[in-house]
Amino acid sequence: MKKPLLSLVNLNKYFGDFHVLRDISFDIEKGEFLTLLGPSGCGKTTLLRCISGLESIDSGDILLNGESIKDLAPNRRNVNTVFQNYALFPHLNVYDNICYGPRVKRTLTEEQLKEKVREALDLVQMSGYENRMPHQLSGGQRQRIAIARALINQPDILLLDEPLGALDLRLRKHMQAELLQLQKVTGTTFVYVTHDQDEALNMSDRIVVINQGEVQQLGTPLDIYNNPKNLFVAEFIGDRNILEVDVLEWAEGSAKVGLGSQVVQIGNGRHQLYAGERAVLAVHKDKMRISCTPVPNALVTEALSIHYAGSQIRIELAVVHETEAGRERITVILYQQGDCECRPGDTVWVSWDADGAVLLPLEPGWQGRVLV
Amino acid sequence: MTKANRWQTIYLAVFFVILYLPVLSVILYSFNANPSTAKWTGLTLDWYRELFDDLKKHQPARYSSSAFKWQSSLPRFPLC
Amino acid sequence: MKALRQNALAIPILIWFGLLVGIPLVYVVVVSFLSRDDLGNIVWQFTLDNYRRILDPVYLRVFVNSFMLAFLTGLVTLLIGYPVAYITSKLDPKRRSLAIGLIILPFWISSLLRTYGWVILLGNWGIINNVLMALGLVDQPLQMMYRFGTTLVGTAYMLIPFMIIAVYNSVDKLDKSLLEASYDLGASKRQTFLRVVLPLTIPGIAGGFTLVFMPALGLYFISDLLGGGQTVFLGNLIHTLVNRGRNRPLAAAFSVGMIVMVILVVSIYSRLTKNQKEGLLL
Repeated sequence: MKKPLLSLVNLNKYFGDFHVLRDISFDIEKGEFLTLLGPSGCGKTTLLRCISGLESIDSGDILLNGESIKDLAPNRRNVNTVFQNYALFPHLNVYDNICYGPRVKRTLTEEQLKEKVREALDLVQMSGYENRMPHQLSGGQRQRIAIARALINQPDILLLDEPLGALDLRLRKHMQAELLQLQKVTGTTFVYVTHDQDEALNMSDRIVVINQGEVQQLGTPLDIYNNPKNLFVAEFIGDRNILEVDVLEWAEGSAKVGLGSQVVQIGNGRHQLYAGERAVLAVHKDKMRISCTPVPNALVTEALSIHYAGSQIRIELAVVHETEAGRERITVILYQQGDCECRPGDTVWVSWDADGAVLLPLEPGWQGRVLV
Repeated sequence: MTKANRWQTIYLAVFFVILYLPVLSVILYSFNANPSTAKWTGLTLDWYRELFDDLKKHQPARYSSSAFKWQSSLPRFPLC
Repeated sequence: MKALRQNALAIPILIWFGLLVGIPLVYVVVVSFLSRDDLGNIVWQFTLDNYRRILDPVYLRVFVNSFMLAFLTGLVTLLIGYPVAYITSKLDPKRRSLAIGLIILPFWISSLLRTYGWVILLGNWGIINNVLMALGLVDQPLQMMYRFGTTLVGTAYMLIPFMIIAVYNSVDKLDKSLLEASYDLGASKRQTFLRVVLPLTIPGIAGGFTLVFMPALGLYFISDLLGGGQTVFLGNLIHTLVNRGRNRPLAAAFSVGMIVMVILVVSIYSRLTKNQKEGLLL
């Protein structure tokens, strides 16, 4: 069996009484682009700092190439970090900033360094900037120098802590593509921290979704997007309508659920559930369709409002119940005007693609119902 | 940033001891029975008694004798 | 016109400055070019004699003494004070404010009194000698008073808070992520200190040095009390010339010489921090 590059084994970390990381265990493969994704304060940055050694861990282990590095100081670990604020040394020019690692470790002669720095600057497309001071560079340029400064050490893993957070949207998109290219060219393993799900879905080979210090799900972007393991992931990733339903019948691969008096058949039934249980049905807003005439396996709703927002059309609907109280709100996002041109007050039938919906166990204390 | 370690804490403590040593010496010798600082001849509160007697005698205590001395030592530049 | 209006608020301050600093300064410079009569009164007669006299080797020696004292005071306070400032900045907030309070507190105690404390400590029959003799470490009292070193101890002791506060301010402003980046890139703590912390705190060091150097040039009561007049410094000389020698023009010439030394140090300081500012604007 192939050995993983980095293994986290039952890692726990406390800040005082606060349990920041709970029993984190997963492997990172050599050469992959792995993203730690979660809301702010979920512990993803702390996890990154535990790997780099800037934070100690309270229990568990971290294995790099099969050897424990949990007791090594950060300067003894062959991993490098690109910090959120870049952390370029303000008193050193670009050349000396990039040379910092090899110089303190005395791994290269000044002659070799010259060549290496040239290569590194070439890689991040910053040739000719050797003599600039950090304050003379733009945000994106500093970003690149920070990456070059880390990569020149040929780390086993490059850790990136929300590196694009401070850039504007256009530059962010551009840097995303560049980072991917860089990762491919150098073959370095990237561990990338972000709270931006688009960034994670676009760039990663695999994503680790973290919430409240716990790993929620680990998988490919497609897997995480389409098959959320729990309610948190369903709510956090993508843009879904989440409805509380009664499980009427359940079998592997298909289920029948009730929403008030309405009953629909669900194709996706991979989470074990039992008839009579309450559950949630999560459907991507852009994988729903509307019809002005009755269609099978659809929810009957009343149109509330229609917004035209550039390329997309947002339609707000309310599920029709026998009583007026507690009508769930459903949002449908269309990219093309279909046959059904509804107006507020019209009755509309809503259905969805089989792969757009997922049925999940209800979690105690969940308060996410959106009512009209 | 790493926390201060043991040696650093000790350094700081030693520094503060030296910083306050002269001040504490002055306070200590204010209880010396001998009027000279060269000899220690036991504890006394005489100097404090004298100080408070003085304060009572010269009602406006602000004008202590040292202030007069200070005034007389002012350089007298001619006004030209 | 607009500039005038904007600076209008500064005018009262400038007037005060002119009155309290400018006029005495001009007065000193003017007097330094005048003569005196036998009674010590100033005579309105231009002369360069005073400046000729301060270049006399005997008097130049005084300049050297003072410069050495001020320079060494800067050095000693830096070597002792830098670690204090650095460690203080690493304490948790509660202890940090306590430490800063303890550093500033002596300022509120008369400096004469604190210097006198050293006399009690270092005198031939002082506390230290008594303790050493009681322990049997020495047979007769160590001569610690009335040396150049004693004056240095007293001056450094008096001025070290300035150094600590100046260095502390620049250490405290240091971006902690730079230290982390340094460790992350493979530097040890020592390397990080030498390559990141020290260069980035040069403005604090230069500022502290200037703050210590300038008063150290002029303090005279410390060398009177602790040095016993064994080494003559500018402060003592000027003090004596004014009060006993009654030679104010010569005293004024010495003062001008001292001011030139201070200006020299301040210009070095401003050059050091100007270079640094370019890098600190990140």
